[in-house]
Amino acid sequence: MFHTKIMRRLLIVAPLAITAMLGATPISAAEPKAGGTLNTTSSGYRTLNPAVQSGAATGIPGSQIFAGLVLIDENYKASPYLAESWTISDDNLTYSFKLVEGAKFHDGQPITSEDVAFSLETVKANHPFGKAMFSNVATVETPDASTAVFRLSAPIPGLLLSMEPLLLPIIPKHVYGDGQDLKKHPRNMENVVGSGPFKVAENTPAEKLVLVKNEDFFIEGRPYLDKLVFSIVKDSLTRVLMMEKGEIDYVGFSGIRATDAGRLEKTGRLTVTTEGYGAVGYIHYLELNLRDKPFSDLKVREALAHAIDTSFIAKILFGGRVDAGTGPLHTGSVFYSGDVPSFEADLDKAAALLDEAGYPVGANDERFSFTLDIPSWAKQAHGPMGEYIQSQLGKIGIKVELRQAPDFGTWVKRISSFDYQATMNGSFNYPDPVIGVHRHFDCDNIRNVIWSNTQGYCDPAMDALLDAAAIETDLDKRKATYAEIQRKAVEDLIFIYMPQDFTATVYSDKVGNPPSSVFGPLAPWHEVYLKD
Amino acid sequence: MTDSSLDNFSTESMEKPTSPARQTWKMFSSNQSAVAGLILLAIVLIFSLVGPLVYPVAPTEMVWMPLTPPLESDYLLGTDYLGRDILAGLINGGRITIAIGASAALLTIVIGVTIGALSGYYGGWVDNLLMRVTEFFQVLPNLLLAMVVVMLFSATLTNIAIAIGIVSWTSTARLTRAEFLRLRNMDYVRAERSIGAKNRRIIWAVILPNAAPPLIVSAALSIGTAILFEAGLAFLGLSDPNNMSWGRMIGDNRPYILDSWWGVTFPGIAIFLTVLAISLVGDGLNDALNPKLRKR
Repeated sequence: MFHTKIMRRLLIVAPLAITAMLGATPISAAEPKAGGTLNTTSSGYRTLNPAVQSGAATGIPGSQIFAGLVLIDENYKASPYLAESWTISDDNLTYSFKLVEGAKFHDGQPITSEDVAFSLETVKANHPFGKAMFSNVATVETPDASTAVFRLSAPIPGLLLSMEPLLLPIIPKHVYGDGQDLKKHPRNMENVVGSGPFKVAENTPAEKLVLVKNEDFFIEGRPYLDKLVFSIVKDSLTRVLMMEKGEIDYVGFSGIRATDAGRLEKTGRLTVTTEGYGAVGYIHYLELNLRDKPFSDLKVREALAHAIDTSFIAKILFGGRVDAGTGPLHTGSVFYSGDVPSFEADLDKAAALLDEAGYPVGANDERFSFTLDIPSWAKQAHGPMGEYIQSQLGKIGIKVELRQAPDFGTWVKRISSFDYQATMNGSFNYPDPVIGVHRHFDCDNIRNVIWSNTQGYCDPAMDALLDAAAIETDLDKRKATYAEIQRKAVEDLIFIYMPQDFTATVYSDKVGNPPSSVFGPLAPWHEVYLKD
Repeated sequence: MTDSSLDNFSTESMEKPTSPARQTWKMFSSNQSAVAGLILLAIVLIFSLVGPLVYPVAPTEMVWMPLTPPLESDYLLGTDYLGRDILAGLINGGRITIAIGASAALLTIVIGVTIGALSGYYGGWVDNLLMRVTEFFQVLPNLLLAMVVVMLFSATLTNIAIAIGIVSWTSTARLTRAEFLRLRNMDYVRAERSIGAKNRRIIWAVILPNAAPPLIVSAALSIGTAILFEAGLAFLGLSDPNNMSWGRMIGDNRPYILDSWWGVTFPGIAIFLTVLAISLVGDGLNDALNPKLRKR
């Protein structure tokens, strides 16, 4: 009971609570116990293979089914997982990993360095940001079955971060190396052979996914749980009710509204935390097509920034549970810097800027109008944001026409073919800004691909900064470069940043060791156990 | 003597014939539930059409703390998740809802009557073809078809009205066809034909007016159905984001239902009352226009 209360307050007084909890651990006799079934949910997935698909829907079960070389803890430090040790050369260009002895795939075949090399090639070629993560990995040598040597053409400061099961799952070459297109490989969904702590027992994509303990897991005595049951629940309200009733005990990427979080906490059994998403870094922003008038004009963008009060959105929409967000980096990132220009909420100033930019109030009290796309994939956040922006800009004579995308594909097509004026959008930072941030700003990345530089921003000065940050191995220097990048991104108003997402984990007091690394629920759950 | 008795007779039994409209109104007004429906409908119309002039709060304006319960602020029915006035939403949404309902019903009638009339009048292969088309639309699930149409052509007021129209005309078509089958060999129709009237005239000017009573009832009821349909689509997230309607209010506030019952309840009541009023009026019209019932 005592334990639960502390857990619940973790969010508010994190440092204090952690100290107290450490002290309380022996009292509450938190000796992990083996056995039991953990009931959780999934919003539905199209593949279970994280080597070819990003995102939480695939990533959460994917990280249970597949193992990676290392695990990243809550301080972004790597610890051994499938690789029991590794060495890094002084020039940061050679990483050699020694694999755990006797590690086996779920079908009993040994996991070898060949599989590591194959997995890297697969991710590099098929994963949406495989190139961003590994383009500087020239080759992977396999001197013997348990040694994999990564040779780099240029330093990759965040390389170890990309070795988590989520981003570089080790997949069996003897299953996937048959020459078929990996993105559409039948074994991504059927008869999946993984390397991680849990095996697929039952996969009925519309209904549920059942994973069972891998008895031959390479870490002795893990996992604790016998079974994971992911019920497919698409509606956030249903998830809230299921949690209230105690039908599910753990939900990562809960997708619940901030307004419902308080309700769940009131049960006294459930903890809601936004900790554990540092490596995800889910941010929201208003994306403007910078190619055309009026948004090609910085003054107009400044006017918008002054008209939209992000702290209001944070308060109203996310119940004050998230930071207002200042720029391209999530506040949970090690590279976050708050030293950026701020645009105080001021409608008069916004109006004056528009006058200056040559958009005076015309007929019908209107300066100009534009269409704002609302994507369907995060409608619960983007819908109300769009409605707020529509109302707010209406006050300064900008008519906003909201356009609700009927499905993901339609929206992707509009944005990636640059056939839009403005859209609500959001993206993940991922553990290293090279993956999640560079893609939006790099001149070379103006591509017909969603979540690239679709808005068409190009500035050689920015490119130089990005290039420097990508290969800088000194942490402090790298931080300084990212601080500059953040300042410039906000100064140029490449995007108009909205509050960060309310990404939360909800778990009941039955759950021991809920995943707490920067990957949160996207990390393996082999340490999770159920209390009596 | 005889003259005066004849006068008496004529004044007593040969009343001045009343017009059909008057007769209908007499029937209608003697039906209590129909009158109640009419009054209710009038209230709804006044509320939605005159309301914005009397209560000039914009439905999109964030006026107060979000999710404020009714009676706890100046905003009588409370506020929604963005702090917008529910009452303002109801008043302004009413106009849009009724407009969607009426235009969808109009479309239903136009398509349904045209297809039914041609089918019933010509018979033969025309009837066969048109009835197969009607059956095709009948077997498709209404809601699904409407969703597909709205999704394909984006959720605007016009598209929503069109979608509702094209999924709900089939029963009107069948009704019209049945009336035309019944009437097409009536003596007065034969008479028209024998003096050389064109088919077009016979269909639209001779048979249709005689088939009108059940069609008027059907039209009235289909406004109610269309309003419900619009709410159903909005509940599933398919509503025009640029215009407030009752359905959209329900759809948008649904996720917050655990914290705010008022966000969905008031628009729900508004829809309920409006559809009820339309149904009562429709039933009243049915009784009043049906000559068989009139004799009772």
